[in-house]
Amino acid sequence: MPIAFLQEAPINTAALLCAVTSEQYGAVVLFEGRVRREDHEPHLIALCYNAYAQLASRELERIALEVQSRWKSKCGLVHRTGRVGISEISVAVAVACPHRAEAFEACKWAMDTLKATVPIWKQEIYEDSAVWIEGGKRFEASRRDQ
Amino acid sequence: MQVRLLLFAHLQDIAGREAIDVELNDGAIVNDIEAKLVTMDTRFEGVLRYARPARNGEWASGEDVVFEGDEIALLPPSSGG
Repeated sequence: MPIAFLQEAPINTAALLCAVTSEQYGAVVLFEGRVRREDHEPHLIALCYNAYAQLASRELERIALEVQSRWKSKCGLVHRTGRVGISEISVAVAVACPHRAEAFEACKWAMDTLKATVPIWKQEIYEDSAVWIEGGKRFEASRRDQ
Repeated sequence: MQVRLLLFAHLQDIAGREAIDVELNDGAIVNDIEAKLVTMDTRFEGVLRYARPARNGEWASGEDVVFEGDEIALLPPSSGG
């Protein structure tokens, strides 16, 4: 079973790294996507992630399985749901491969594919407003999710 | 027949809720849901060209036939990460 799931709780990347590492892999790449503070106003307070959990979990699993098959690797993917504060990790991808070139390549492919295909949406939360992000489009939110 | 419709992101804001029960004729296809939504709010016009449908937790096509008790989800372009 691949390591691929959604969770509301903070992501423990040390545990994720442990889960993909084993003695046949000489290269382990960890990507952490973090909520960044932006200099311009309005200032972002947090992101809130909304997911179609049933399908998103299956898509994460499909990506992890494909990475493991294409790059002869071990892959773990975890994505937060709900509110994620500034500097917190919203998504983590860990890939362990025999060598570094394929580890970097596989990790990038997994993250790019996750962003393009997994049914998860972020809401940007500001002090007085909120905005849904859908692909490249932005929609003012009529309510703040959390 | 009745199907359960799940909405996400700004589509939830248009509907004011996360899920709606929709009445459809027997033999209806996923695309027929759009006309029902437009009667609720005209901002749903074109929603099946914008949002990708899923049926019972699997990606679906607008041409797929729906059945009593199905759960149809309308999924806008994603923005995870």
